[in-house]
Amino acid sequence: MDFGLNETQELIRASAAEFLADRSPSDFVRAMAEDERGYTDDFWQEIGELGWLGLTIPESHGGSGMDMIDMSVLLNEWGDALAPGPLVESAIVSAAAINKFGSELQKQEWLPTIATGETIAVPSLTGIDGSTNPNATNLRAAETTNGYVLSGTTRFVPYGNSADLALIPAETDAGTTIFALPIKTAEGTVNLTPIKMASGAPATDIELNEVVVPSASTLGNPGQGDEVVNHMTLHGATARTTQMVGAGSAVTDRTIDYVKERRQFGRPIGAFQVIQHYMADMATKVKSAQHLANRAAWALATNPDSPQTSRIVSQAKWTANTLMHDIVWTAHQSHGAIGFTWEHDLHLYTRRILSWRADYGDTETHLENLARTL
Amino acid sequence: MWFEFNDEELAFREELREFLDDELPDGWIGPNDESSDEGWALYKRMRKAFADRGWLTMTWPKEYGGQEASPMISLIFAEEMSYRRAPGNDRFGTRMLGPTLMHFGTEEQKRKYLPDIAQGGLQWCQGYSEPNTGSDLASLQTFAELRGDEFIINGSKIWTSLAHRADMMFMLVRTDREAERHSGITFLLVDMKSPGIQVNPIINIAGAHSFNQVMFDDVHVPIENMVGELNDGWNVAMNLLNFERGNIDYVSWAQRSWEEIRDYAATTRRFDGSLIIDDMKVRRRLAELEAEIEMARYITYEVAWLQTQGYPPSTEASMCKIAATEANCAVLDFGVELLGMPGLIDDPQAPKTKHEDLAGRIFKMRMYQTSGPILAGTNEIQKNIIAYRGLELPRR
Repeated sequence: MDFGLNETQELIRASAAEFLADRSPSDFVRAMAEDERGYTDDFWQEIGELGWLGLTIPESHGGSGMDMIDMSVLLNEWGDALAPGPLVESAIVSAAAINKFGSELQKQEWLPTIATGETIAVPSLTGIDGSTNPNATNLRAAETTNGYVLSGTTRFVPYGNSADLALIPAETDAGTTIFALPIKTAEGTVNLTPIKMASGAPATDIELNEVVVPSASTLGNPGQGDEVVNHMTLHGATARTTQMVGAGSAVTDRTIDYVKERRQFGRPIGAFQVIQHYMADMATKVKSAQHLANRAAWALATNPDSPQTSRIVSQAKWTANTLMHDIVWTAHQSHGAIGFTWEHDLHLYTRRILSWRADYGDTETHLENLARTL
Repeated sequence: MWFEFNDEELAFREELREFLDDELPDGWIGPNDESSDEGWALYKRMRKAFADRGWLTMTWPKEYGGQEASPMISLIFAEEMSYRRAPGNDRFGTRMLGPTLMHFGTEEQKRKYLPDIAQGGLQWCQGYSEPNTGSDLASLQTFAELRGDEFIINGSKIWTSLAHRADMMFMLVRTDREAERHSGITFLLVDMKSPGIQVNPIINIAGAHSFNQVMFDDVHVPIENMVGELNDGWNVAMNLLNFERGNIDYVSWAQRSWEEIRDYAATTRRFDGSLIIDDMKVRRRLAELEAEIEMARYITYEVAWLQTQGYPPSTEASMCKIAATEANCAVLDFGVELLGMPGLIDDPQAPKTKHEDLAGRIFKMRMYQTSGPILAGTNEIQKNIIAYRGLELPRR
């Protein structure tokens, strides 16, 4: 057992905290939430230069070959600062899928530029019904002599309007298959409809009409879609969990600061025992969720394909979903009216934590996974 | 960050498991009823067996007969013992008094008591709470007057676990009524056979005699039984509390009960023929409780890890006490409800089916575990500690 950070991880933590405090203050977070793309090229280029986008990409493909444990240290700070941009979508979820299921050609084509930030890759994991069931799709891929023709709609693709590459599940005769689709250069009709989202990360509905792709554009084999989706979901759930805990931890710290300053009845409200117990509960919940989130990253780094890892990840996401939700509302209750204003930053966290609960498996989905596999 | 035990730790757990297989009575399910004479005899036999292997005091320094084992090994010992509901893991002598004496004891006290504790000799009990002194420990009133080279104690201690079995008590007494209340307290070691001590049983809500009220009427205690300085007992006791807060026991008890409830659900059919566990509501609740156990478990592991790094845990210890006792109660609450009416049979003599036996044990454990969130600092006191010490919230 080790609950500490090693030297490299401590370095990642310190540099991330310092950089994000400087580059992702709340006015930037607010501006990006109103921005059509949700981040800026300058910001993304800097993140790429820091090596953060290639952290878990193998050295052979332009990354630094670290693991999800190291990445989780960054994600914790990323969540704490509510930093914008497709870190989870591109550098973690898509990169993990390409690295595991991609052909050597696909890896060479996409991984080095995901690592620099030149390529934005995004997964489509939301069902057509808006649920987290990726099998709820009307996308069909009809096989031709030398490829496929894709038609249908996929909804709520995060950062889809910025994406160079979309990983899209579609039904083929062999079953659900993932297509690595270069959507800016695809042959056929691609309609993008951006949607402004409460999380500050824009989503996009992607409508494909007779889009022609070569056979080599499947990610993994035809019919291997469920396995690829599962791999992406495990990484996404773990990343979001850690990000949520980072955000929940920030909410807790800010609320504690607030109750020390806010005075009523001639004393700081933090001197009232009921508020003190709220704060103790929040701190305990952050601690509980943090350990299970770290354990999920560890399980994914050491034993990604074990059924036990799937349970550990679900346990972590269920826990973060449940406890960070409690934290957000306790924070609002402790802030009172000021936390109900647009001007106050608390709602920036509230919006993201509520949004992230739905990502990569909502609370119910993960509980079902745990319940089915008791 | 790493979430696995190392080879040495795993090997120790395996050795302990085999030892428990051999030493515990055949078919042992537990928990041990130490209010019965047979239960107490088993406790003493097991405690001696552990002492013979050096396991009770393995984290102690070598100079006091310990093995300087890591706190993580000690955690595994407690985790496995509690999972098996095995008796004999004496907490008063080995986990509380021993480390206190190492820190504050005189050379003579160390020589006299530490080897005995390590060998599983005298049984100690703890005299802190009083009829008017619960969470507000510093308000204690039992008075010890220093007369020459003796203290004369008058007053009473209450909720004293094992006082009726104990040979010795470590206790807090007031020695200066005029001083600021934290500054007039002294830590004493008292022979339970001293004239003037009377132990009155208190039956707990599970119907068992586990704790007592202890009356002191002009009880003479030699001054060499004082630990630390006169009027410095609060400082001694607060250090002791830090040793007390290993809460893996609750996590393990919760885990074991959870498994028994799950196994019952997996093997028992309802009247309509369906297995209970095929009811998704049951499965989901089990999954939630499992996650709650894991949350408590990893805070507890962190406390042990902090100790391996030389950091004294403070708020983490309070957090895990809350999480672990609440998880344990929640598991038992679910069990009582799921197992239904048979758990509520209140006749120990009645012949019981396997289901009724499990249900009865779960109910009885739930009654016992009412004490979990209360003892060793109520969970509300733990929240105060987190708020003051950890979060530095103002007291007024």
